[in-house]
Amino acid sequence: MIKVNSGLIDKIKISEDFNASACFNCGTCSALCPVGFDILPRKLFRYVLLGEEEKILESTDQIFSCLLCRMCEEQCPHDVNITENIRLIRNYLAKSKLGV
Amino acid sequence: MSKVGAVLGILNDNFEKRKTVFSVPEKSLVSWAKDLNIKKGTETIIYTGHMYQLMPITKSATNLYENLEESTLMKLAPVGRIVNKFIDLSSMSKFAAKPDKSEEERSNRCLQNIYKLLKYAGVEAGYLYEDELYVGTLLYDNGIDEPLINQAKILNKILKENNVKNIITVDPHTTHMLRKVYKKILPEFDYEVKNYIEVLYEKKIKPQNKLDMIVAIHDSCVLARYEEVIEEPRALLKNAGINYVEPELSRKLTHCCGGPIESLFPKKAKEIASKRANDLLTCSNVVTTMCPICLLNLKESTPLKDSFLDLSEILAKAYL
Ligand code: SF4
Ligand code: SF4
Repeated sequence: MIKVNSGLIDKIKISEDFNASACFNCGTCSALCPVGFDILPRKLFRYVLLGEEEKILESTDQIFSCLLCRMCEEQCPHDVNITENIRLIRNYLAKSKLGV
Repeated sequence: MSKVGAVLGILNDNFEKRKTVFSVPEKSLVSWAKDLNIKKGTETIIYTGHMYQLMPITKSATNLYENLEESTLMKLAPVGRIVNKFIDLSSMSKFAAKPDKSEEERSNRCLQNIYKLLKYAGVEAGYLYEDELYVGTLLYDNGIDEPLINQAKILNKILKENNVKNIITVDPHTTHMLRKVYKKILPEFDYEVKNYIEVLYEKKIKPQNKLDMIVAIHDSCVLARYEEVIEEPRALLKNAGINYVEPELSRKLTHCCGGPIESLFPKKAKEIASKRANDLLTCSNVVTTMCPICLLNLKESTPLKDSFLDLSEILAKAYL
């Protein structure tokens, strides 16, 4: 069973730049990603929007292996702030889960 | 505690305690400027952000950590964080990577070249010497924003005390941090920030020697995509008679060198670098980079290390 944390999005969305909900799941972003990100930005954003905290925690290594290189953003047709969204998810993980 | 948390914890602890993430002796940070008679402070300054100076340490640290990624030492990273609160781990000779002497000289030469090129362009830049601070890119990228606000305040005070108005940065990450990020986290951080490549381009400098060479260009993600500095380096090369060629992924679509994840995932970083280095080397046996992190990562991923040159090294040959 998926455990959902409905308050998660509010904890992550500490800045107006967080716009994961603008993502419409087309997958264009992953075409040229140099890391070959397994959970792809779009899947990660769904986890956040749905409050699936455990899935996010399981993906810590992948979330921190993104290069923030913006290749994905260059391709995204919906102007999703992919790298800033990922950075803010990192901020949440670092503060709330990793004891930094 | 996960490995990611432990490594980030060490970086953060160092930053809070020592205002930097890696320990480099102050002397090596400023030694490049020794014989140049640069004024302290002044309205326009060159800002190194320590990035060129850190590379000689990072090189040996990367080689060290690469073999240790899955090893006991990395499993001990959480303990390392606790120890690090009391002892500066990165400077303990037993664990510390030794700076590579020839890399140190090369980094210093790049910074001297940049300073001399600016002077040739008519820009008299000062320097903050020991007062200059690392801007915290590695923390910011990993989502650790809070200690940066304090750092931005301290730097703002130092800049005000020195009557600085214009900042000329030498690497893309420091350019981005000072031009966009610091302004965002501290609205009163209001300076004109330009990368040296932009300044040289604006000043329309004239070459003293025409170079007959073919050079493949590796754009930095940060310079090309975050800061949109794309045409300037090309114009400077072309102006000096250099025939530049572009890999399939260039300009706005440039491919990352892998460097940003080097501290956390060195193996993955090297795989990415090696792929990119091969693509570049199929275009030409001379490749230019515009960021010290790109230079280090790309050249260390291939046996053809000497093929990689910092843009400042090429520009110095043509313009000085
Ligand atoms: S390209 Fe943009 S809209 Fe499409 S999946 Fe990726 S982030 Fe979402
Ligand atoms: S920013 Fe991250 S997700 Fe986007 S292309 Fe680069 S490595 Fe992949």
